Amino acid sequence: MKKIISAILLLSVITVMFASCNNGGADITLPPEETTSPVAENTVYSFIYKNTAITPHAKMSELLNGIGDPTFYEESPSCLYQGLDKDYTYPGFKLRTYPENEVDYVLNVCFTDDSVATPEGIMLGSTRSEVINAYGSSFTEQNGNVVYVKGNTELRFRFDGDSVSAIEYWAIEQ
Amino acid sequence: MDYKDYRSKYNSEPVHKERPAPSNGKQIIYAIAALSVLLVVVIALLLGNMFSRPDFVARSVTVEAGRSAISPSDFLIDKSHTAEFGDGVSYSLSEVGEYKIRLIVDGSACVTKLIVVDTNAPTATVTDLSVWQGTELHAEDCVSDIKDATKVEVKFKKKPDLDKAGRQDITLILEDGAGNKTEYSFVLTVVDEHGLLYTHYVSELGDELPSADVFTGREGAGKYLSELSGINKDAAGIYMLQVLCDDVAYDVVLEIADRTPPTATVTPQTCYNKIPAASDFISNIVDKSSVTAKYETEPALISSGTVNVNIVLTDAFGNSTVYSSYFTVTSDTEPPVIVSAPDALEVDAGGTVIWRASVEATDDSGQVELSLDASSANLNLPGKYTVYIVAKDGAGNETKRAVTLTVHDAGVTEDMLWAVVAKIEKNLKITSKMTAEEKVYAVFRFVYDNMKYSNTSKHIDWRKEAYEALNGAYTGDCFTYCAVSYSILRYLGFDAHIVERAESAKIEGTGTHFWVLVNIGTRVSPEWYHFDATPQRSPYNLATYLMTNSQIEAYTRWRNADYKLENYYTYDVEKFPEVSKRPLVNLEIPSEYFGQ
Repeated sequence: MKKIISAILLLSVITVMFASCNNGGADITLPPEETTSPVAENTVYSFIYKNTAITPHAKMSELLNGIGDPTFYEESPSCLYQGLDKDYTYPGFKLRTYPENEVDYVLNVCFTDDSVATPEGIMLGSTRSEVINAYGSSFTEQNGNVVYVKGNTELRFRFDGDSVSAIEYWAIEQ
Repeated sequence: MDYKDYRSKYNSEPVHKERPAPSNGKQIIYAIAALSVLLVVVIALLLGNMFSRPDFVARSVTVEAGRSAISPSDFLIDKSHTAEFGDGVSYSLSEVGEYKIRLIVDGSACVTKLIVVDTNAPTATVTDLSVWQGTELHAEDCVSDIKDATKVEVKFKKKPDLDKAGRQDITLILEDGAGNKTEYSFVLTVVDEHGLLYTHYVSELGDELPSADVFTGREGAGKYLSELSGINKDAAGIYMLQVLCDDVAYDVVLEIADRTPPTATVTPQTCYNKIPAASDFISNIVDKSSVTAKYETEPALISSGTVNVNIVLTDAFGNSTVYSSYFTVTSDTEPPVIVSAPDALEVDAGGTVIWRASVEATDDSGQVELSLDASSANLNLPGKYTVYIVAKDGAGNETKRAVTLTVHDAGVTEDMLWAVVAKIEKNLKITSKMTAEEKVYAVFRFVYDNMKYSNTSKHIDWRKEAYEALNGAYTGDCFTYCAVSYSILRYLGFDAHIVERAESAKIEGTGTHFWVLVNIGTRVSPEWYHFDATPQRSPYNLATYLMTNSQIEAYTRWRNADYKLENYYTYDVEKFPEVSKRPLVNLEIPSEYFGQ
């Protein structure tokens, strides 16, 4: 009997020790709080619509709340990706996505009329010098397109004479 | 029965001679004690379970004192869970210490710890000082703008001698509540009754130049030895001058600067669903330099009502003034008015519409957003469409004006197309010495490397598709890649056909696909091969430019495994010339997909 009672007591002590031990995860030290807004240069090109930044490679599902429903939508099986290529029409631009593991990401944004402008103020009809004033002279010419690259995004301008005839934001495939 | 009787009854030999067996009463007491302990254990376990902390909750979170806020999610290692503070959680982010934090994570309570530390030493502004001999000076009087999360004590490292005239190097020690220390040094000038009190004086921009007494601190005790006529009181500047005081000439600095904060008239604003700019509130600014206005804290927009704001005016010298004001968000039900707009718009198929400059609209809010609703138009398909110019104000009221949009047939002829191909011919890097296979490969590389995939094609007109792509767009889907390849191959003299996936192969969820059949032989001895420059993702991104039927069948079987039976290269064989059986390109298709 004493052995059994002793065993219960010992077991109890061990159990209480474990019960009172801390469990759970690691210690965390939070980084210092930013007291001022950092003025960091953007590392990608983004088009702003309804105060929402549309950046190539962004998840489409995370943009829809901000940019709202398109005026027209169509989809078709992709020749390149596994899934559907999707095409969203908004006033002034088209947005196309590519699928990856059943998630849609922004492939490109193409301006369709001159009611929209880039955040730097360039729109269809702007001049070549206005483009260069806004984006600088660090660009490449590819098949008649003036191409600016930032990170995994690309901003392309095409010209009809001296005026911009096409503006496209593109995702650069990694 | 006593112990001996008990033993003799149940046991012929004693087992524990030295330890008498407990009586029944003692056994019961032991049992009760054991059960009590067990009960305590069970309660401890229950409590332990109630407040046990999952692995995704931090054991402790350490923050720097002075932090503005901490959120329950800061305690989560895995942020996919939800957390909120439990009742009675109390802590101070400005006081160093450890705080017990009760969290409700995913609906269950647990306990963790907040550790507030102060590892940053205090900072302050310390400048050189001049005092009269014999006066009293406290360490706190020598600093300003102390910054630290905790209370800071200021003391002299060595107490200055205020009875002795002259310059002294003084060190101040600032120590915060956590023991962090900072030392600042400055020059203290103890001035006797014959010296200068200041050697540096800042005069307000625009004010009359000060008399020399501002340096001596005594009325009528000093006069300028330097000529002042070259000093412009209306321009900021620093001037090295000499002042005579008690027959001694001293070097002094007269600085002219703007130290007066700007003033302005601030007018509350009314807006329609848009936050006014801080500068909208400001008029009649009075300052001697340029002034900027910004919100102290960016306000949030509400649907209607009043929002209080603080607006900070800052001049070029860093002087600032804060004004309080407000803006009222009002409901607006009046739609904008489209004053002028064209009756019709025109565009070439595939082009972009330029219309914005020809439309004028007004609204009582002064804010109108114009857009073109061309969702009913197909800008790639010639025809007449009704589109709408939409004027929308900040409150969402809108006015639409119907406009006829005519999409003109771009009218791409083969001559136009060959002219465009001729322009890019040099980029193909084709020479007369190349074999047919090499030329076809050069076309494959050009299309593959220069085009960008996007599902933009309408699969209508291969000439127009190729023309627009080679004219600068360089984008499209498989139809565009096919059209461009087909055009270039034809331009180079190859006989070619456009092939589309067989209708019978387009089963559920499978779209279409286009590629080219090209003859690298002659008309008499043709050698037809499949050619497809449409890009593919790894591992299907092979050199698919001269493929036999056997190869495209194997490729199709291979992709079918991943792409849910899309029948990639399945086509109506009988509608096209017979394809060569002689493989020219080694495609790295797994062998098991051949010959099935």
